[in-house]
Amino acid sequence: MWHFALRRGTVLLLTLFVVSVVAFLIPYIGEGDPALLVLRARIADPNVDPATLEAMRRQLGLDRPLAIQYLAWLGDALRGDFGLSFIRRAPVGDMLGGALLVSITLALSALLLALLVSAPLGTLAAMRPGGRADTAATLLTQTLIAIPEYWMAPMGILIFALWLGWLPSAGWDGPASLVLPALVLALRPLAYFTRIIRAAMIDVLDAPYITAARSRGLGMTQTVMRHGLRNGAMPVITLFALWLAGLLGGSVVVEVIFAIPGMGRLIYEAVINKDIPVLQAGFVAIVALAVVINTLVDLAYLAINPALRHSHGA
Amino acid sequence: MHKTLILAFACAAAWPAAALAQSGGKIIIAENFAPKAGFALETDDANVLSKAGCLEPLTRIDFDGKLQPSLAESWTQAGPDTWDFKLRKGVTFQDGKPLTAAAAAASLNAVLKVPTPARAFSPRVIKSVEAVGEDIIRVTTPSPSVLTPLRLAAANAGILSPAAYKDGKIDPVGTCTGPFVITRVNGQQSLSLKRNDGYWGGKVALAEAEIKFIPDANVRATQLRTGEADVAGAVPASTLATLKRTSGIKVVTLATPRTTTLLVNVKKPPFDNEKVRQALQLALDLEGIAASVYEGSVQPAVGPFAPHEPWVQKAAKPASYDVKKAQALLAEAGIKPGSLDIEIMAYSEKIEFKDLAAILQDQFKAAGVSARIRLAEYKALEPDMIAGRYDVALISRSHLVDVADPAGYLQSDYGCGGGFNLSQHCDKDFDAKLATATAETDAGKRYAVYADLAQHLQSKAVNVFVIHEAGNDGYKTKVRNYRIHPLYQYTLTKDLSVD
Amino acid sequence: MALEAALPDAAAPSRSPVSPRHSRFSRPHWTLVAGALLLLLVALALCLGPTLAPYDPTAQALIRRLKPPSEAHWLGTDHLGRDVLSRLLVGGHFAVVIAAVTLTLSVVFGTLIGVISARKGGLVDEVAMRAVDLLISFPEVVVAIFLVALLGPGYGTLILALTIVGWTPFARLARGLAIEINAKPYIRAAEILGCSRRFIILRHIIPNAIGPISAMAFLRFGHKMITVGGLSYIGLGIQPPHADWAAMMAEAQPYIERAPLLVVCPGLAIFLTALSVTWIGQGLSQTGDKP
Repeated sequence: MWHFALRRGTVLLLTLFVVSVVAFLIPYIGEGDPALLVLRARIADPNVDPATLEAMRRQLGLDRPLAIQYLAWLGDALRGDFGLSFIRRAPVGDMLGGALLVSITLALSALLLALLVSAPLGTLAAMRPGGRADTAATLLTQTLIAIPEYWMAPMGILIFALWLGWLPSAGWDGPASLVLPALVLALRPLAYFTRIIRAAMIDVLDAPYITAARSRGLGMTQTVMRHGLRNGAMPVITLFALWLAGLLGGSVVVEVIFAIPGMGRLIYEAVINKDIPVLQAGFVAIVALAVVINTLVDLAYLAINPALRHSHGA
Repeated sequence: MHKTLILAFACAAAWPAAALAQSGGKIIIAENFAPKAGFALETDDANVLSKAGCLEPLTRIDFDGKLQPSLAESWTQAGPDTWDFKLRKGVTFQDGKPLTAAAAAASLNAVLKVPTPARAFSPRVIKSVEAVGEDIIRVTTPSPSVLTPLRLAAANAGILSPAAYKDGKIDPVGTCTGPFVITRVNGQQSLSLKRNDGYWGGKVALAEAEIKFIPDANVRATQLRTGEADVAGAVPASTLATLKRTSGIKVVTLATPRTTTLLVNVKKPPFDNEKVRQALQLALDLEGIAASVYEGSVQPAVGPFAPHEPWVQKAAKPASYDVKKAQALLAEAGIKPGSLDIEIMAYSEKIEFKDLAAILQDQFKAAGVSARIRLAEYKALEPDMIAGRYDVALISRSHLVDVADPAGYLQSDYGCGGGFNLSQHCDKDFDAKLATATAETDAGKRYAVYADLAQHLQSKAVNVFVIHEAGNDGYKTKVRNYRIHPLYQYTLTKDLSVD
Repeated sequence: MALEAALPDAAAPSRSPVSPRHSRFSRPHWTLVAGALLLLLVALALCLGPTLAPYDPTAQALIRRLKPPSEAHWLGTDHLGRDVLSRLLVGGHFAVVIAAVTLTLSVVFGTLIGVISARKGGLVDEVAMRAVDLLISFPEVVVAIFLVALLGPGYGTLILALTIVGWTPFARLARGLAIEINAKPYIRAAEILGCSRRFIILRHIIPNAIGPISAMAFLRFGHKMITVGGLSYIGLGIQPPHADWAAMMAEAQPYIERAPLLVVCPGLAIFLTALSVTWIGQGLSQTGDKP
């Protein structure tokens, strides 16, 4: 276990190093001159004076060798200082922190909602595979997977905000504004959760200890509650964590439609505005979080089920 | 996992409690442009503060476009290049400190001395600002100018308390002089404001205000309909029909000094050929564009200036729509049908541009010119436009940008070496005529020259002027005294109220 | 991305041919048939679209904008007077082609890497699996947005972006299957008989793995398509004037109340296409249950 954790930890660090180098190099891959971009963003004046440009380059530290720039950048980044946004001039760390909080709130709400619906649904479907409830659940999940969120979101706005007037149409103030986007984001994970819960429950219900429990005279519901849910929980937690990582930034379309100031929109706007520091920090943050979550889940999985260690290739 | 949960709940708890009702009520305004540069006054953020009823300059342009006193109660021209502004007495900043000549001069100098000053208020047009005695601000210009009082009306020339400047950053909370005090800056999401009880201009009607920054025009219109906003600025033309049908909503329209223009890079072949430019002009169905994308809410352009403005020839008409003639002109210029492939730049902040660009693409195709569209935010396109790396580009351009006279626009946009001459037009005769106009004291004669120059731009098809824009703001009928400012400089005023 | 990692479980690869479980279906599952028919219809429409389209899908007629369905325009016209039916017929090309190419590349690379790393083991296996661990957690939308920022939108960019993260689950699945198959007596026998590794991989392992892998590919087809559509929806996908279902929905948004068909039709097209491939994938994974 510890050997494995050490190994995964090394890989994690290596990964973060690679990611940080890629992020650092972002401005040099694009075509624009960062110093010129900053200047242009601040003044709508074509006659940029070369001296001003040079001063701006020095101010941004763009005149030093690449390796030195990287080390300086990394040192700052490790202290949470990703510099100032080219466009907003606010500290990127603060912007990112705010956006992450928003995205995490949104993602957790959506995933908890999905879990609340899919747990009973998947269990119900697993009770009698091939039965009516199972068929209905399967049809529902297939349908949900095939509906794009950019169809669901505008429809939700039309019905619940414009026609019924129950919910805000967009923005991010107050729990009410969370409802529609969370609902839209929940649909697809709901489908996957239901499937995996169904599969896990079928496996669990087949297991000898369930038969034993049943034979001891425990009711079906009690058996499922006591043994089934607990044993089927691990794959669900895995899936939950992976969706969480995926929705940080992955919810960009929903964030754009609902004007939510989350990670997705922050990066989308940074891309369009060529706001390099935000782009770099956003890239590092999203990937690092995703990789960390993934590693933690793998470790947890292995801690609980050591038998997997070998088949997992570790 | 635990940590994220805690964070999430902390975030949920951080939402502001619903504001308590106060006498005067609260208004919610959905605005287009969010503060993007940490409230640096040399940027457009100054305009955000000005619209929010916080920031005030020494002079101001009123809702009828006239120059009025603001923080300065009067001004005199002390010399050809020197103006003295006398400060209003008894004005205090929102932090309680008195407005002194020293504080005002420091504020103006701060914005003047940044490495990247604003065009409307930069060392190029303002030489120095200094306090003379207790209440006089002396402003000098590099060359004699009668426009100095107009320049000081720009939002960039707004005055903040010395307390606003801390460690190279600008904090507008409680440091303005205007009718509203900022209580909370919620990133690029919103500004919360409350009334300034000590406002020098008198009693402020509203108790509270919230300005939400929503870049998507369709979302603004939707929020007006759902009641999430009481005022929606710059709603898209496509929503006008629906908004006007909705009870409890009014739409106010104001002809703006803006013309949607298809910039043509006249230095780049084949656009250096007048015939090619005229072909592009003839290929466009301006009437159809006004009727479709803009749902009939605007007029097809007769040139850079709209027909109702004083500096337009009476006979000015929109360019005709004649595909055959366009094809013939292209043939004369030696361009075979389909051989010319151009890129149309359009920026996404102007919501109509996406459709407009698609129409241009189609109508150019009918004339035998194939076109690609590059749609991005303005800031992403601007560097290429400024550097002359483009074919044609859609732009929404105000011709009264710095002062209420189009001379500045004609000079900066079409004069040789002009500060915003994106089409790279350079014509010695044009410049000479413009020079005579700026020296002309008689307004009528001056305007005649402007009209003449406008006609030149239209007939030579230097750019293709598409439509004269109108600003459409929507608001709830319970909102009183709402007006569109001709330069979009003021929204929250002391008289604005809700029933 | 994380969702990718999540999918193999959801796609129920446990019902693999090498470990057959209790069977419920002895014929091709009905969803397989229904999905295949539906997909055939979509594929036909997309292939013949340019010929079938009654009008040039990009031709505008500003005087005929936002018209309801009529004899001339069966599904009406959009906000620029373009024929909706014609745009619908060609509008699936971008997303469907990108999804198909991405998945084909992902299946080929993923399977090869997975099988080879299972056979070779050691350092090769270690490196390949760590790469999988790393890439599988990248959110694909974010990768796509970054690449669009650097390379500009287009088929190539999106195929690259989606393949970078897309091959990983296939590699994991193929490796798992290969390890399982490797342990089978007939592979041992083949080894003892002196068959080369390449022969064993080509002859035994890949054919046996292809069933669950293709099921997985179909199951994520819809997801890829919808992701590509999402990028078009926010303007980072296909560029005008070319028609794309998701872009059509975005353009029609302001007119949703005046002309609901403009949003409903492309939405339905995306939904049915995604549903058809999901059905096929589901059908394939369940048909694989046959003893």
